[in-house]
Amino acid sequence: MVGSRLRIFFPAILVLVVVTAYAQNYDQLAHGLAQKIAAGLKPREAASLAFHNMSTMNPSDVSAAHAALERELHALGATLAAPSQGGIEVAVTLSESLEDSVWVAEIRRADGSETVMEVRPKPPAMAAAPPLMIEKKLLLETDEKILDLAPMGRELLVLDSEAVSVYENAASGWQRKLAVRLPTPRPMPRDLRGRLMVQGDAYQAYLPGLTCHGNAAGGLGISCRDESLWPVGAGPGMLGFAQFAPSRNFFDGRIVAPNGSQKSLPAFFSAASVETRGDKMWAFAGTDTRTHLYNGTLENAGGWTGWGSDIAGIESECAERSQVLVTASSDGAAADSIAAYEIVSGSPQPVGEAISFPGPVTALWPATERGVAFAVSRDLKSGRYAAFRLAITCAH
Amino acid sequence: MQRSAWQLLALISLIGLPATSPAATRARYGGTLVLEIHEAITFADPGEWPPSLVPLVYDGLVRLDAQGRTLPALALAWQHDPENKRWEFRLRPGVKFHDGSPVNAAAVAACLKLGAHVAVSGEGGTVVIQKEVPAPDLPATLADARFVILRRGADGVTSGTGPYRIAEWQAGRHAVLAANDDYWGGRPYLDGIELRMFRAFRDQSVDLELGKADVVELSIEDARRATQRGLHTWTSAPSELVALAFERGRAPGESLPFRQTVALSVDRDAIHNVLLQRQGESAGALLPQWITGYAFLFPAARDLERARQMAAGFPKPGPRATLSYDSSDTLSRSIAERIAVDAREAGVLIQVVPAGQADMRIGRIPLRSPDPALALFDLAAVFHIGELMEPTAVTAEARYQAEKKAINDYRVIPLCHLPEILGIGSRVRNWEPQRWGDWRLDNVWLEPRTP
Repeated sequence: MVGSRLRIFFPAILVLVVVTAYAQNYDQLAHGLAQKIAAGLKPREAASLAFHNMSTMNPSDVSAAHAALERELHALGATLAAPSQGGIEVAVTLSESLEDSVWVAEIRRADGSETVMEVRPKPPAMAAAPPLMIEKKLLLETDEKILDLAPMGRELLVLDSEAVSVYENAASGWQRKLAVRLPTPRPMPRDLRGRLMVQGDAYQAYLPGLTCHGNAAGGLGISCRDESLWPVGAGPGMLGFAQFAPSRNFFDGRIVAPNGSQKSLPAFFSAASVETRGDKMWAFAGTDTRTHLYNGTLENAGGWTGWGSDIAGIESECAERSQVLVTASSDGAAADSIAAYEIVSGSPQPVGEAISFPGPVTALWPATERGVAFAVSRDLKSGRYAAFRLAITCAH
Repeated sequence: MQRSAWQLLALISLIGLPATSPAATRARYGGTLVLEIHEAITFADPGEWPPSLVPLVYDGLVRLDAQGRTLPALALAWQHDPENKRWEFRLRPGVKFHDGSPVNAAAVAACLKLGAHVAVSGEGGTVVIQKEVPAPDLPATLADARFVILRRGADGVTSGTGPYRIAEWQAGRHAVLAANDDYWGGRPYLDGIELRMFRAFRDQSVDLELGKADVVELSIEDARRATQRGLHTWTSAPSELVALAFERGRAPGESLPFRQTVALSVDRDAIHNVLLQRQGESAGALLPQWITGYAFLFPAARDLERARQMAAGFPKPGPRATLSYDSSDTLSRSIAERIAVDAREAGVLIQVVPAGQADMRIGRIPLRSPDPALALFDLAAVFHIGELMEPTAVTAEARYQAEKKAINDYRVIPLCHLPEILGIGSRVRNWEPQRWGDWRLDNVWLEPRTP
């Protein structure tokens, strides 16, 4: 299980690393530009600095850049003067191109000007932390697309687009300890999805057209077969297995119940178990944009529109009722949100406020822990994937 | 009491959420996207295509992300020697051209033409590029549309590796692109793309409104109308240079003072504010700010007083010249006429003529690459000012100096940088092309038509 200490420290460490990268980048730019400015000044020639920001740097970074450049110029022996004291004017512009930070200094004299510039690749964008409405904890951030994750004792098993990995809870944050590459007998579909189930040290990874199993004890083996039946639900309330279309991003609607009986429903993206007045029901996010509600024997009980494609049913500690977490994006190019609903008299009722994500939610699966789900979001700015633990906390 | 009222308001807002939220949304497979363009493309060959279309059918060894960083494409990884002269690219295994033949190092080496002083060889799964001069930005260069990997059949027909393959081609009129089921990046969501060429801007706009097209090109005027009617438009970063170019060998163009006088007289702000309706940006530089980061160093402001002083120094009856424009392009005509008015205020007589021989012309040049070195090199070739450019300039400072030298010669006077404006149909989802206009439609999908 995810340690509470780590949950607190990991985002802090991440932000610290990114901030450090920013600071180093600006220091290097300031150092390089200061050297070029100093080379353009005559000995003991006083110069005043004028700053102009044309980049996407925020005001505090601009102030830091200003201070860093002055510090570097002082260190190089340059004489800096206030603009009112006359002398040479050095107009510094903090600019940028598509890829680079471009810092330009125009050394202006009465008889002409000289232009020097320092260019360095821009540091990666720092993601803004979205407000927390439902309890949301960042677990991991990776370049690879995280498909699902599952706690495994004190460790975390992660399925991404490339591998199954074991992460251990280290002092510096979640560290990848072991990884085994997924076999790729054929190109994986776009909008790749996957599911991970864990029992003790054993795991099962479900991918479109591929079912893999392995064991985390004594190394991390993997063995796969061409099969695409994914579990829907877990434990005594399990619905059964659903056929995932091998080269697509949805279930084709065929359900095999634990007792072997088969049922055919409309194709769907995801399913959620919901309990309403003691009755177990299932909601299916259909590929036809409708959410279909079925009773425990999979007879249609209505439906509605307006929900996103990813839904996850969770049983919370609150009021002994179950909720459904629901995505609500317009498409994969926009920021997303997840809202919680309860089903009352066959209709969805929102509970609490939606939580927002800095990009589309690419995965949303219920966890085995009561009242918890995992969500993965792609940050639209950085392109990286972040996995979150979501839990509904009771409002009093 | 007040708190209760707020809680009630919050509850009402939340209850209203499902009805107002967008519909469900994981990408859907299927459908044919109808894409209309103004240009008539004759050959099914990427060298003849607008760069924005090339990624639909062809891949390069690498590609660029939205921040201009290189990402693996047909090459999974690359490395170089300490001098940045020898580069090795390891190919993605198992990729095939649309004709079924394998993409191996030999095929890539046979296709990649990087100039006379560059040796390209291939063995196994690795392509080796050996340059005579350091090329630290080679991966970014190879992301350009002109370096895509293709196979040319005996009949001259090209075969790519991209998300779509050419299924039907009617030169200059119509093409059908079909989804590549075996695409290494995953089959695209769309079943296909119908490309309608040689469509007038006005016809495209009408087709979009009537739901007959999903993506169309819009003129500045049509874009304004589309926005007023609530249609969804997309605007790229400035990706086209509009410039005034002097023809070589003709008397006015051979006079540096004359060229400078005309340059000083041009009121770029008026062109930008009135004729371009504030689309794009005024340009004192050849390349836009977002590509170089230093375009602001080139002033775009008018200096009428100085232009008048210079014009007064010319022998009587005063300076004069002819200016031509593409007669099928109303925007070029408007700009040419505006320049004539500006010049007259300075004391220079310019006669505007449609097409044909003239001392100057209005040029509209698409910037094919977000890479500043490549983009500058392209402009040098178009305007025949190669001697002023330094294609081996590998630093921003060197490129700035080269551009400054060209600008100060006034043979080409930048006027503005224009964006590409597209109209996007209401069913189109995941429309996220690169800001410089590469259309990667493998992630685009279509909302099903509502009955």
